[in-house]
Amino acid sequence: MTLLAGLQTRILRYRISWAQLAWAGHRLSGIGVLAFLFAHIVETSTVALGPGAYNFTQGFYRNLPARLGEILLMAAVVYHSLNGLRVIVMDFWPRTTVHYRSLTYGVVAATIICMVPIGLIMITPYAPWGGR
Amino acid sequence: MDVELRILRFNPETDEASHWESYRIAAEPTDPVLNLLHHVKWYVDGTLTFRRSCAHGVCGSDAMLINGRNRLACEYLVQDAGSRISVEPIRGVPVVKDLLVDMEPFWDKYRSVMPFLVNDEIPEDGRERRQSPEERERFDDTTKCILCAACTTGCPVFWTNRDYVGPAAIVNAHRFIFDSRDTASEERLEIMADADGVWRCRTVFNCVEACPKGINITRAILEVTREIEHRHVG
Repeated sequence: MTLLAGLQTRILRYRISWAQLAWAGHRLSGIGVLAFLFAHIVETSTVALGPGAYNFTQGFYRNLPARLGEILLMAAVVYHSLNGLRVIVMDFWPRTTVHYRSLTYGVVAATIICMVPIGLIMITPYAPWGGR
Repeated sequence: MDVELRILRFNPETDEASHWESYRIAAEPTDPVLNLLHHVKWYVDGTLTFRRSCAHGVCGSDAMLINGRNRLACEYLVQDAGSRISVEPIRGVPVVKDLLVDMEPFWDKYRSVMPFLVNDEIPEDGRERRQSPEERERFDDTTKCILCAACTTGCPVFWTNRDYVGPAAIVNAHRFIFDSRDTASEERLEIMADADGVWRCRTVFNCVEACPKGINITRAILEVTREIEHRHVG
């Protein structure tokens, strides 16, 4: 056993495969996006209390940690969407399950490829080259 | 080569909880893990309890959680397992003693899908029910199941919901649902369309990774779901 496999066996009692990780990631990203949606509803509803209250809640987003959280949120949305498409493809065409490993790697790779430019655009206002 | 074998042991008469015991064994790289268990039982501790029958990957009685993944102890070789090997009973079913589990919950699920050919009609020629190679091919993959339970007890959905019928039962339902000679596929699809039937599958693929016979179990499950949708069952 490799060290990683040994740790997984001892802590989780079952060795995690990429497909299992993809499933856990799908659940976690879904819960994360849903949690943000609820927070977003609460935060935007402060508009009913007047401009002062609304501007106050919007101020929570105008800092680096919040922007990093937004990038994470974006990554969750992208991953959840792409992995959802993978599941839909397998649901409609069961033959494609033969390639489940490649499809899983593809989703992870596509998420990373999408998030590089998105992340750069989102972090630019807070980066040294962003001029802030 | 020198192997450290760790076994999760449990004696219901003396232990309150299971515990690990380690054994150092000299083994050949081509030895299956089952040989190591035999060595412990025959030369070190005769109380070690586990189930095995043919020891050649046919009967499916020695499915165990080896190095964190469900496998057949008789098929998994030391050269693939490495010099540190952990062996536990399969999960999701009650442990009777050491590596021996109560398979009755698994058999209950298996029996619930009517895993036998149903056809009371008399064949056209009065002798046999003919089937083309294409019709036979439709369910070829799922005929390979040896009922070892590696798939069902490796499924995270089954770990958390013991009412889930499980991959093995669905595989055996698939084997008859798509058999052109069978006349009870509608009835089986009704069972599969139940809340704890095929819809519980989350395409985690642990079953596919665990199957010692290489059955594409997730494909079989999805084919049954498609059939339920096509026939508007449930």
